Parts: sequence; C-alpha cells; structure tokens
Amino acid sequence: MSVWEVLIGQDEATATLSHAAADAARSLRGEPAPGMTHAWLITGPPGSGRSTAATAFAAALVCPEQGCGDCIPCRTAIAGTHSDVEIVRPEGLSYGADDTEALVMQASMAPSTSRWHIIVVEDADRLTEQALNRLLKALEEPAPSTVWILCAPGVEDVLPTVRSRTRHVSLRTPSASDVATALQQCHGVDAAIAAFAARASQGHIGRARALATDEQARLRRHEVLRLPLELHDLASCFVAAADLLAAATGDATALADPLDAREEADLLRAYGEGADNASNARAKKLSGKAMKDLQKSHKSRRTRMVRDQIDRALLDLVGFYRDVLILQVQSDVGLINEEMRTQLSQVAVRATPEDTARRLEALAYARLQIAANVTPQLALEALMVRLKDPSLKAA
Amino acid sequence: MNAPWHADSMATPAPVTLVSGPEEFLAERAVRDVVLAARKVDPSIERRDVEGSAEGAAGLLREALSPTLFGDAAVVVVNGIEGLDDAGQTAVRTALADLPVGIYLVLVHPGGVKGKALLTDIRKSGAAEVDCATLKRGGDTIDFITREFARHGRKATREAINALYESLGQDLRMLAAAVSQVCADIDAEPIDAEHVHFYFDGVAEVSSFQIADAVWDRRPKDALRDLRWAMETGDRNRIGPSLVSGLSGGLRSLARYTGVSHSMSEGQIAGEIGVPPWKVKVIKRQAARWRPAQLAQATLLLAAADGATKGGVRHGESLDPVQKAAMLESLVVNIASPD
Ligand SMILES: [Zn+2]
Repeated sequence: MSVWEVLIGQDEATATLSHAAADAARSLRGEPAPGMTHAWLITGPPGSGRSTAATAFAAALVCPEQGCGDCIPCRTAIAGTHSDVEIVRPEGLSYGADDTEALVMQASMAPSTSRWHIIVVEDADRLTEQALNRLLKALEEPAPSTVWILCAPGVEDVLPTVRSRTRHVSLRTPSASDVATALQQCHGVDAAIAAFAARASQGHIGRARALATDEQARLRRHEVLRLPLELHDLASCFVAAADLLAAATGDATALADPLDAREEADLLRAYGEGADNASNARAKKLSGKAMKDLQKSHKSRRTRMVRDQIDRALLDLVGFYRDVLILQVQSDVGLINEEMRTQLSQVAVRATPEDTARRLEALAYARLQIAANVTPQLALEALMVRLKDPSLKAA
Repeated sequence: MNAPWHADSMATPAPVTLVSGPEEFLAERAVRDVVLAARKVDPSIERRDVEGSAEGAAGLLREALSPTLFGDAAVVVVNGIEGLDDAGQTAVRTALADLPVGIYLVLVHPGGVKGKALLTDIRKSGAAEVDCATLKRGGDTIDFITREFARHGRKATREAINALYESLGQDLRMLAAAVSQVCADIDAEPIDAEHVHFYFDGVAEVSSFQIADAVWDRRPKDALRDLRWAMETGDRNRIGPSLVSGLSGGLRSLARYTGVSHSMSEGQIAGEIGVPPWKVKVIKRQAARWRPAQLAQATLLLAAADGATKGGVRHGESLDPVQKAAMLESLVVNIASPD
C-alpha cells in the first residue's frame, strides 16, 4: 500500500507531494527537478492530516521507490524511528529559540542511510517568534541534503518571511463521504456508524476515528451536546462547565494512555529490556533519567491534549448551534446532528437567530481564550453563562 | 545558672526558672519549654497560670502551689512578676525558700526596673534563668533563624537564612512559623534559598484567598488594601494568576450554592458543591449578598482578567506591569461593588 493512501480526500496535495518526491529522485541523478524544493509548509484545518501528509512525504523521500509503503525506510519513517527523519513536536505550549538552535545544528548534518535529512516540524504555529526567526536563517541557507517540512493550521499562523521561503501545500477539510469511506475501509466500521462519525467530526479525521471506534467517545460527545439543554440557572452553568471539562479530559486520557504506554515500552526496549529478568532490571535502572524526562513530556502533552479535546467539544457545540441556526432560518441544508433534530427544534423555537449568532460568538471567544492559555474551567464557566444568557457580553 | 533562650531543650527542668526580658515570643516559648520538659518526666503534669497584676495574686499563687488531693505535680507560671503586690512578692519568696514537692515554678519578668528587688532575690536563690532580651537587628536575628532550623534538626544555607530575614525582618513569631513550615514542606538538605521562595509563593496564595474572601464578602476597600499589600510584598508575577484562581474558587462555590435546596443540611451542601463542611457557613453568609446575575457578570470579568494576566487573548492586548496592577485593582473593585 503506497504511503499516500492514508491521506483522505487530499487528491491535490497528494499529486503535488508525490510529484515532488519523484523530482527529488530525479535531482539526485542530476536531472532537472522543478517539483522539488528544500522547504515546505503544509497547512490544513485541525484533523485534516497535516502530520500524516508530512510523514508520508518524508517516507517517499527516503524510500527507493518514492513511497512504496512496505520497505523498511517507508515503515520506519512513518513510525518516526528513521534515523534521517526527525519529527519535532513542540510539546510545551511553545518551542523556544534554544530548541530551534539545536535542531538547526542537527539539520545541517549529512543523512546517514538515505539521501535526504528530513526535519518535520508539527505545529510550527507553536514556535515562538524567536524560534521562527532562528529557523528562518536555516531556511535561507539550506544544507544541500536537508528538507524542512513545517506544518501549521493556516498560512497566517507563520511569519510572512517563513511563508515566502517555503513552498506551500494546503490540505482541505475532507468531505464527510471521503471520511466515511476511509473509516469503512481502514477500520472496518459499519456504514451507519461511519456516516455518523464522519458527519459529527466535521472533517476532523482523528476525531472521526475516535467516534467510529470508541463507544465511550460517542457517549461523551452525546453528554456534551446535552449541555445546552441543561442551562437553567447559574448553578447549572457551572455544573455544565465541569461536565464538559470532564468529558474532554476523558477523551484526552483515551488518546494519551496508550500513547504513553507505548513510548515507555519503546524506551525500555531501547535500553535493552529483553527476555530475562536481569536485563529487564538493568533496563529499568539505566533508563531512569530518560524515563523521567519522557514522563515529564507526557505530562505536558496531556495538558495540551486536554486543551485540544476541549476545543473539539466546543466545535461540537458550534455544530449544535449551527444546526439551530439552520432550523431557525428554515434552510434545507443537512444537519450535523441529524439524530438530535427534536431537541434542536426545541432550542430553535425558544430563541431568535440573533441569540444563536451571539452564542456562536461566545463559543468562538471561549476557543480564543483557551488557545491563549486562559484557565480552561474559567473560560468554560464564562462560556456557559453566555450560552444561557446570550445578551451578556464578554467583559 | 543563666542559660540563653536557645539552650538545648533541657532534660529535666530546674525547680525554679526565671524567664526575663522583653522579647515576648521567646518568653512564651521558654515557658512552654519548661512545661514540655516537665511533661517528659510526668505526662500528667498540669500547668497553672497566675497573673502577677491580678487582684489577690498572693492567694491565687498559694493555691496554685498547694498540692492537690492526689499529690499531682504542676508547673506554676507567674506571668509579670513585676506586677505583684507586697503579699504576692512574699508568697514568691516563701516558695523560693521552700518549694512544695512536685512543683516547678516559672517566674516571668519582662525586663525593666520594676520588681528589681524580687528579681535579685530570685537570682540569688539559684533559679535557672532564660534570657529573653530583644534581639539586635542583623547578626542576632540571623543566629536566631539558624537555631530555629537546628531546633527542627535541619540545616539551611546562608542564602536561605538571609532570604528569610530579608522577607520577614525582626518578627520572631513569623520567622519561627516560616522555618517550621519550610522544614515541614521541604525534604532537601540543606534547605536553600529556592525552597524559601517556594514558601513565600505559598504566602502569596494565602493572601490571594484573603483578598478573594474580601471580594466575595463585598468589602472592596479591604480587598483593594490587601491586594496593594500583596503586590508590594509578594511576587508581582504570581499575584495575578493566584488572585484569579483564588477568586474563581470562591465564585465557583457561590455559584454552585445558588442551586442547592434550602432543605439540605450543611453536610449535604458541602458534598453537593464540593467544599469542606466548615466553609459552608462562610459561603452562606457571602451568598446572601449576591444575585445570580451579578455572579454571572463576575464570571465574565474574571475570565477576561485571566486572559489579560496571561498576555491577552487577541494580539496587542498584552499589558505592562503598571497596567497589570491597575487591571487587577479594578477587577477586585468591579467585582466587589456590582451595580
Ligand atoms: Zn518504500
């Protein structure tokens, strides 16, 4: 299976990137290769598969067949263990100049087993301005065999100077039918659930996968979508905020637990954990410091995941009120939450379209606040207060 | 026998102890040390206090000195012997000459010339003396802090001790409390300046809760005064986040309280809104001063302020330190005095 097949509903981006990989191979033979360049910027809305696209491209570059998907270089590149493919995830809430300095140093070194040294920076929008400026120098004076792949939600999220030094590939929000088909093909989910998950995730592939395969995730989403119906008084607003936080934490835990466990097991294996107890004990001892660091990074990743999952939950609520608005203006556009039509109609008749617009604005503001590091619970409490009484304005 | 106040805790207390000098904290502790040492010998020992200036002190003292029916031992503390009248002084001299069995006598004198003759007689009688003279700034107080750590069996670096001194100055009671808290919180040895700062961060939290209580009590003047004080004495960078978190904790309980049924017991309410039972009374009192709409408005103010302390939600909203201070001040005033 070719490395490109995991990209869902991204025909255009796939064409650009596979053409680039082919030209990269051509350039090594000294032939003209206009499709390839040493710095890329991949953008796309959350869940559209930016990181997947970046690692697929990296695999295609290290693969002797430009992305067969089966050879060892392909598989290790995708798993993040290829020695010439560096995947950087700014895990704290931001990534500083010192980190970037080290990365740039590393990038300038020659590749070890393949012809390219590839640095994938996921979430380049989380780099600090100093870090981006440092990166800029590297992009201006590229080492001959280094390829930078930066990922960000949108071009507006990176400095214009970075944008102008990179070739831009933009992913689109995959259509619900693309997502549903992929869920059925890759996860063997039945058609009805695949269709529901595709619709409910509003184009977020990771979210769609979680909803399609994890019943608990579906239940938590259902709980969140009931919250607008339960905002009767001030106390219930505060209860709703706590409930949403609990649901998001549950979603983050479901994602983080297996990831943490796998990475800890990988680390122990790297320190020689094996068949007998003696080597296991030695691995445990030797890995002490590295394990501590890993657990620390897991903790900050979890914090970030909770924030991301809160944002997902807020997007679910955005979907809820978009549906309400559609019912209020009697548009015949399909509902995101078709299965809740009855409840949605009740909300729709009890409020004006202006109220709904204000509620959507309150949701947008809460998402901004949480992105700006406002204590999530507080931002959610303020949000619920405004959802209950849309005439209130953010202070 | 004249021991300084920091003598190692004694194995058995002397029959008569003179605690002399104006440093109240040291004097109180010297008395307590005698009581504790006596209880080590006999855990059932009783403490009997007599005020020197009280009317009929002589009679009270004689009564305190007399053995009980069961011959139980006691520590008899005479506070302020300079205030004893002639009869009282005679009672003390009698006791010095012939101390009843099982009695430890502690005589407290705050220094100064009053009661000098009695003081001389006590010293002549061979009483142990604990000197509680006022500590001089600098060296004396630094020594005090060092020995406070030693009392807990701990060591601290010079920097840690200086940091405590710079923050709390001459207030021995505060210093002793701080050392005790740091020793309880920190396992590392020796304790260094960073650990001490950790303790003061804790102080910032405490003052934030105090400010929050004033806000939810609708006492804007007090809230503002405490906030100014906290900003002058504490870590300015921490006060914003810790104030917002203190305020939102209080708001959360108040908001949840608006939803509880009045037929619930305090224990049930505590469970329902997630606070310790003793807080329910406070919340009840505070809740009586608010309408839900005002609390809703406060929620929005608070969320916006949290964004502002963290560098702003939208571009160009970041505040300099003076603006931040002004923002926090207007926050507590605005919340505490709603329309
Ligand atoms: Zn391959």
